[in-house]
Amino acid sequence: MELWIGAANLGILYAFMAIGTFITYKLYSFPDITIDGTFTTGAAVASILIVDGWNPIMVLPVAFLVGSLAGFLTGFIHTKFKIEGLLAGILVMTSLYSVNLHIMGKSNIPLLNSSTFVSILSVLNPGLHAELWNCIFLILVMVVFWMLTALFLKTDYGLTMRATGNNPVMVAAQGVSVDRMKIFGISLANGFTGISGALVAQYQGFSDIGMGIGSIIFSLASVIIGEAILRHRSMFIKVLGVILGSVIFRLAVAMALHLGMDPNDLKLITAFFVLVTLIATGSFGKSSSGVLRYFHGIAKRHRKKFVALILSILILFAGYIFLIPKGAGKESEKLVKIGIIMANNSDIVSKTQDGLLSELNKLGYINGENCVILEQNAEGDIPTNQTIIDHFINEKVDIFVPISTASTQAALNKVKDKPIVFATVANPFVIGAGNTPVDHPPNITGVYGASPIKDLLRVFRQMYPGKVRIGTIYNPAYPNTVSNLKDLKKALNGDKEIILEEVTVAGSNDVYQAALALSSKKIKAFVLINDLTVFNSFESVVRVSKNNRIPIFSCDAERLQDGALIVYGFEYFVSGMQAAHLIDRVIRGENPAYIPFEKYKIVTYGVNYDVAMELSINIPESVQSGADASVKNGKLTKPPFILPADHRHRTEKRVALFQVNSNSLLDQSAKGFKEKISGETKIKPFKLIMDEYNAHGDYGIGQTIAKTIVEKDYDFVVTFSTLSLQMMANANKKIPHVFCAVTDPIKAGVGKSLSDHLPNLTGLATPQPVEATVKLMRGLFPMARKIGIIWNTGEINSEICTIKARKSCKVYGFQLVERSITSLNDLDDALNSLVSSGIDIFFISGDVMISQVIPRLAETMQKKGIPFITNTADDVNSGTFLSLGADYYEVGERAAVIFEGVVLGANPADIPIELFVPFSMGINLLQAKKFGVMISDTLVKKAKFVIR
Amino acid sequence: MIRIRNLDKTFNAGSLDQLTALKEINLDIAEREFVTIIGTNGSGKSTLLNTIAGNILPDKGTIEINGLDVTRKADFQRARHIARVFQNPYSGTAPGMTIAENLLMAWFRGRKRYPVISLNGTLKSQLQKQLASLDMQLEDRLENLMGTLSGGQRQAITLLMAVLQTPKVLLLDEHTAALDPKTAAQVIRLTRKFVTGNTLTTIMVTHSMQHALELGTRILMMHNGRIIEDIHEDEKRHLTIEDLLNKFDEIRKLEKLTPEIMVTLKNQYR
Ligand SMILES: Nc1ncnc2c1ncn2[C@@H]1O[C@H](COP(=O)(O)OP(=O)(O)OP(=O)(O)O)[C@@H](O)[C@H]1O
Ligand SMILES: [Mg+2]
Repeated sequence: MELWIGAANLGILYAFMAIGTFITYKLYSFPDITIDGTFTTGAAVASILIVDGWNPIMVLPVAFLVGSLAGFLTGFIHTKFKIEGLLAGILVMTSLYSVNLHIMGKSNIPLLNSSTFVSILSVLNPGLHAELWNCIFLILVMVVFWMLTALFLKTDYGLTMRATGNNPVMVAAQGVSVDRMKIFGISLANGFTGISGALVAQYQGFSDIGMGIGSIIFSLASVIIGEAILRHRSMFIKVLGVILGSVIFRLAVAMALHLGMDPNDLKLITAFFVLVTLIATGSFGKSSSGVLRYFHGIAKRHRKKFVALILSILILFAGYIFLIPKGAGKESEKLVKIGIIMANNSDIVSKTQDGLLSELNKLGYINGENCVILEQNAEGDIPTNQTIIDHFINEKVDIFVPISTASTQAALNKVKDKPIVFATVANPFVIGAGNTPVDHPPNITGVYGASPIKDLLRVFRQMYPGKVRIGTIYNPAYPNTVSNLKDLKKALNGDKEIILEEVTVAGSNDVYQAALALSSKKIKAFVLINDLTVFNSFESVVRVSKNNRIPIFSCDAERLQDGALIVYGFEYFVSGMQAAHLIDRVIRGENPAYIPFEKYKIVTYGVNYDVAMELSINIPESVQSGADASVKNGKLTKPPFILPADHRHRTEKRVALFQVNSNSLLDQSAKGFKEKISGETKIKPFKLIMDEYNAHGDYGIGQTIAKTIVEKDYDFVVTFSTLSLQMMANANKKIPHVFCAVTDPIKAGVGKSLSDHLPNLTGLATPQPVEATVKLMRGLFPMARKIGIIWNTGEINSEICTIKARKSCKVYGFQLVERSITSLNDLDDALNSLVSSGIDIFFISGDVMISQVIPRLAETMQKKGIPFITNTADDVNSGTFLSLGADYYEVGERAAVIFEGVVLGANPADIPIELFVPFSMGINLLQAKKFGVMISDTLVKKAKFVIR
Repeated sequence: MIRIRNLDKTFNAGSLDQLTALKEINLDIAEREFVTIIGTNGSGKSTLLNTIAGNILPDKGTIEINGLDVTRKADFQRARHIARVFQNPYSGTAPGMTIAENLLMAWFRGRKRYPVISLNGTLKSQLQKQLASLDMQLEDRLENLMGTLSGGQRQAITLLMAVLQTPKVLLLDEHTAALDPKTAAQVIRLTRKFVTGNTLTTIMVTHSMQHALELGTRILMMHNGRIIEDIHEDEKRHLTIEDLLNKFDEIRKLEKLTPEIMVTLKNQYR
């Protein structure tokens, strides 16, 4: 049922556009191709506004307005400059492409976690099947829209619009500006198209730069189908016909998929169908040939039969839908059904498909015998992905296997209760499939990875050191390309001596020119990121490469034979193989929620010696020995693909928990971690053996413990505190390590950035909220001038906090008076000298050593009447006035979640360090009274500890 | 009512097929005058009407209607004052819409149209009454598509539409030329009825000397883009077809036309 209702829903959503086309094409005989662009514009505007937090219903008028503006332009160009309507439409449509890219800022915006009309509806759902509920609602909306449109066309204004299309000479003679009428009609039609785009984007859960392509043909088909089935003079019936036409058209697409037809043929059939109906209904120009008129004559004479034919097909079709599926296919129902959805026919997708199918076969899955494998390809048409998935749902597919980003995005949006195993997605996180390889929607897992552009650049650098210029070509319309480009730029950031020249293309035809343009810029090499457009006309680049002796470095392993000098890329065949294993695991009963996303496991690093000879390039020894694939004398040698062995199935796991010192914060985080782990079911299949180590503040013992953990070859390490992290990271380069209760891991030296860190570790960064605290101080003590701080120079955390305090004090107009100490023996002296310097506030932040003496400090400060503020919430129980910090119990719990993923097999290298500060506050109202400070109720409400 | 000064119009100026359609036209037409225009093919009659209606903008000169300079105004802006009936009986109506809907278009001639539904029962019965005045048994066919009517019927309705909201100026360009003699006579009868029934200033182009003499108060004769004769009421009263043909003969002498052309002319203006 899902397939048919889903198709009907799409039909209704597209009907807005079809009604627009009815206005332009039927009323004005103006085939307005602008809508190919406007549809996307509507979607683009809606998406960015929704992501910005707009109400998904409120974006519709905006989409309408922006759409109308595009239509206005077409109408204006057409009427004022007397440019042929089709041409005017093409002009605007073409420019809209760029406009749309600018609006979206990237070529794909996911709305998966945003509020859409679908999500609003699902909240209101009284318990019906989701698609059915959507359908009921959409029908209601469409009925209203239908009535309004038909009524409008019967008003004086609407009549004048119709008359304008029917006889412009006449309406001009009746004092009507034909131009104005045309512009209005085209604007209105495009406004409706904008609404359609905005709704479809919400329904499918994303907008994509290519989603409007072909709109005009689908719309025309809808209008024509509508006219063929409902022929009546009444405007109500005519508009209804268009709506039904749109629904029938989508149902026909679904039908074709249901029958296992290639959607590519569907386009041909659509075109043919449109042509036949055009002939049959006589909707062709007067200049058409005698043959057409002959057919028209036949069709006209047999019009009743023609309509009867269509009706009977419809009835058969309906019967088929409702009756057949229940009885048929009983036998195959017991077999597990695997549905493979492919977005297009690119090399990458078909390689993945090959790997997937062959590996499934090796794992013992034989189609028809012990499983059913369904495969369908959307052939590059975005809404078709959606329909394929509806079809698979209808076929009761058990596992959805989308290959490539577009298919995965569609599956993600639609499939919530069946497992999805995706393959060959560059970055699943940008399309809303979770945040990290382990933190993802529960029904999804898969294989992903962005091109190893960094490694490619490394090889390039081995061959071309010094100051060089490189060139790259890309099509900004592909989301993958854009993120690849970002990676390239990021990789280049560390290398100021490489100058990157970039040229964008909009289609394969532009690639040759682009390559030429680059070659004239004196580049040393083409460094090509993965881009479908460029790879589709790779020969163009090769031609320029040969003629100008500029070698090609490519991220696509497949390009080695085609004329690249060096490739460093993933094997998409292997992506398919890995996906096959994941499918196997899911079929065997593993919960995809607990299967981390896998990165591609095999890269090919290849050298083409033939090209090297042709371009007279010497391949250095280091590159020769590093490469594992080569082309020599036209012969390709490549190692066979062998997936690394999988140790996952050993069920006993040994974990070391390591703490160099103890204080309430660290102990809390350890507690949070342990309680979360023992209560959690995710890693139940594994028996965890947890050993706790604590050096109790003795660094020497800490070092020894760290070494012991490595020696004992634990499976995992978890550390609490910065010092523990540093000691452990120093001793251990291989055991997967999760850390927490660390202020700043980057400053602690375990990485360059949150995502670029030591490969065997990941964890949480929980900085003390120093700036927020200082800001709060300013709010509470508007007259205060001096803040005193004491910190331990031996603790990096303490130093980081002090540096932050310096900055924040400048911002909020305080003077920071510092006293640094190296042991608690110096504390009293420091304290006395601070107090005598006349401080207004006393502040301690992130210092483990000093935190041991908080109660004593608090007592002193209370005696002196100086407010004492710290960055650990429960210090307030030890007598501070106000303490703003992180909730370390929660930090521990969060670390446990990340740890689980690592246990389940995620590679720490792929998990970015997470910035995690769950705020927690303590406040002493008695002291507040004493200091004469007003504490607002909202602040009190926020506090975890309140002393009254 | 109409005041035309130094009107010039050249088509395709500067190119090989440059063609001067109007030359130095000066014309004053008083209120309620009924002017007929005759002239050879291509003499500029339609062009003159088109410049008055605003379909063609002149190269030079000014046009005033009712004291208002409309020289640079677009056709639809003048439609408030000017109504037209074309030679082609299919030009004046929209075939895909009903008679009632067509009449509604004329009902609002020169006025703003709003998204409200005006075509209700009262208006329909009013329109029906108007249709009845055509005497063509069309009054019960309000809901029929215009495309289903004959050319004569459509031309009659176009005429009705032209006077539905009494215009100041009515322009008729050979509006009976495409009709059979019987229907043509009927349309001429209606023309006479509407023109005399309302206070209209009318210009009618015709190829029929008969109509030119029978109808109207004044005859203009055009040739080569100029008005070569302007015959006012008193003179017109005594005029015969023969006289008119003689006028053409004079042109022949002036322009040294060959006798063969004279024969064609005579045939044309039987
Ligand atoms: N749009 C145009 N472009 C070029 N030439 C034109 C155009 N309209 C009219 N003409 C030319 O201007 C001249 C005057 O044309 P017009 O239609 O006014 O003649 P007419 O007196 O109405 O003739 P007829 O009796 O045949 O209707 C003709 O030679 C015609 O070919
Ligand atoms: Mg003419």
